[in-house]
Amino acid sequence: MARTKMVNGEIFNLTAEEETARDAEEQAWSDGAPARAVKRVQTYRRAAYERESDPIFFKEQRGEVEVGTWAAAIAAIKAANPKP
Amino acid sequence: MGYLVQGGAPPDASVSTDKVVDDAITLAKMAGGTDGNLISYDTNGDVAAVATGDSGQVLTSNGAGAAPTFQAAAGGGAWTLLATTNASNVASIAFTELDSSAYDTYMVVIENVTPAGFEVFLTMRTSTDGGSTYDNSGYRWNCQENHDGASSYNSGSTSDSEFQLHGTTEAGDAAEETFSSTIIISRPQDTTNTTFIANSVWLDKNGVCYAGRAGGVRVSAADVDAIQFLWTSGNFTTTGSLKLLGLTNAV
Repeated sequence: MARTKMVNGEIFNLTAEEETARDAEEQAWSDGAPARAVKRVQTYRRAAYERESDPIFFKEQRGEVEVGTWAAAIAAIKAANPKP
Repeated sequence: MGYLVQGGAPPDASVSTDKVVDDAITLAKMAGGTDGNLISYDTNGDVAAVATGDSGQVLTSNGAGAAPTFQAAAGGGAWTLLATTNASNVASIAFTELDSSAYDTYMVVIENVTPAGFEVFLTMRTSTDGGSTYDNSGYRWNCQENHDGASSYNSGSTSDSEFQLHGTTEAGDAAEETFSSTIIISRPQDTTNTTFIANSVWLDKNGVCYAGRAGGVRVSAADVDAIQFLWTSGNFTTTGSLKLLGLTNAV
């Protein structure tokens, strides 16, 4: 089914060139899904490390929490954000 | 007082202010005037008419000691709604009505649109030929996203094929998982880089609410005279609308 576009409220069919370009863009987007999934997990984990496990690391260094608490926090973050 | 007892009319110039009760003077008792004039006071403190202005003029104070006059409204600074488009099952939605003779800066208000499929980002491209083609290179952008669980994510690109309004968490495609944004496009008519600022809110495929602040630049010494919105893949749905507003040129 041919794609359409809206310009100033009016709908037109894509030209052949636009269809070809959009096909290529959507294929590239589809092909890039695995890489994006990995990057997304990395982003989510990094944010969680900063927010959750990094403070525990320093507490553990100061002896304020049991040894192994930081490692457990890391493991929990990884479990919550599994690699694809 | 004899003339009252006798039932005769009072002589000219004989009725003092005290003899006229409050609220006694009706409009019908006032002398006729010129259509559109307003009643004011002149520099002597006497009643005077303000001349009718031309169509579209506004009443303007001329300061203390001077009667107001009708004058052209000061130009610039007002947002004007240029176009409203309801979303549809289309691959892209474009506005080509950028008019540098009338507007300096534009705002696009995106209201509750959704993609036809999830795990896509909403993007914007620009044109230098009135929308015949849209540039697919030379965009720099960055975005900080926060979600309602308080996490914050950064994303960006130094050389992309479009300006992404968000870059870490994609929009959901369920009916209630809508995407809204306001985007400011600064002086696109200038033949220098064109900048964008977007403040967006959306729900992802898990129903988590995200808010994102994105900034971007179309790196090109060319003007921008049309803009296009598209998802990184797939169509829009019939949900939502887009509005284009222009900030009237300063005088």
